[in-house]
Amino acid sequence: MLAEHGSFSMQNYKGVAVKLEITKDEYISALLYLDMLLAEQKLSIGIKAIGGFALLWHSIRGTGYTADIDSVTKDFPPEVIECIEKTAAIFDFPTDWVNNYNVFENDVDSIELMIDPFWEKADIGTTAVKLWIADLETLLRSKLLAAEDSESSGRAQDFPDLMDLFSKIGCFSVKACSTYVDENMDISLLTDYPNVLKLLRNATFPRGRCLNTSCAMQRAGVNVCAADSFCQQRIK
Amino acid sequence: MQVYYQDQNGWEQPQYYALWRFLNRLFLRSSQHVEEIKEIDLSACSEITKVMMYCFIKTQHKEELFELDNLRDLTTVKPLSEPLRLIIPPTNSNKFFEEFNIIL
Repeated sequence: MLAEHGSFSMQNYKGVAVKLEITKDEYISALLYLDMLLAEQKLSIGIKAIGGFALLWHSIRGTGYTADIDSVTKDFPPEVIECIEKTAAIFDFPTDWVNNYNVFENDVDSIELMIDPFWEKADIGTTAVKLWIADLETLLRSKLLAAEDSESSGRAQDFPDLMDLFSKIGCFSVKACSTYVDENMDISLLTDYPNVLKLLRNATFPRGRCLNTSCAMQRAGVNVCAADSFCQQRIK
Repeated sequence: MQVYYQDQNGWEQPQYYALWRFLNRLFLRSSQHVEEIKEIDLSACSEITKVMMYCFIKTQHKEELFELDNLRDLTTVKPLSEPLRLIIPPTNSNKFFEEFNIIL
């Protein structure tokens, strides 16, 4: 069997070792190294992280979420890209481990208009690397938008990500998801996101945290209780 | 060795899901990875990997990739004989993958 996600490493097609699944700690180490390289050259970079890295940051999943940091920022200057690539070589990351592929034609404003983001400043002890992370509501909004169009776009990962986000905020039923969105985001799944609603109705929800104190899963703090038939009380 | 050539003996759901996510990114960003895609050797890939590649190309509407000499044979893939469950609990969110017995 292969190693755990965090060290799931292969060679890329050019025969260079690359990690396919990068942990939060590995990312932070690489960002600190990048910070050092940039500072040496009196350069800086602003990263506004969305997507898999932001999900990882918010502990939506422990490991194994992504192999890059998607930034909603304009194109990086060549000398900054050079530092990103040098860092990649040191850490066995893909060369484009920090990228802005989600920004078409350098048009950051269109994306910001679409997802109305709130960026939380992440202090990891860097000075040349300014890191902001999309908050949970921004991620939820971006995943709702992406999942709504997933059939035409072919973006198959967005709905599973959305399910993970809903679980993170404690929504374990269609009704709970719908209510949360109605009350907190001033939008309606029924009218604004009918495709998402259809997908939610078809999905199997993870179980909420068990509140039965005699349950071993509850005592272990496991969020997804496998002993369903023994436990009656649940969050939502 | 690239992930899509890896021996899948002993693989379980997390490894297959990691492979699926890798291929998802590879084909979603095919314009950035065109050189790598052109060098994929299907004869070194498992049936599961080939079915995943086929499903991504179809669902991402990138059928022009089937015209590449090295990927032409993907159009002959058949659904997996056993269901491959990638997400637990399942989201049942992609009918096309499901038709090929890959359950998201």
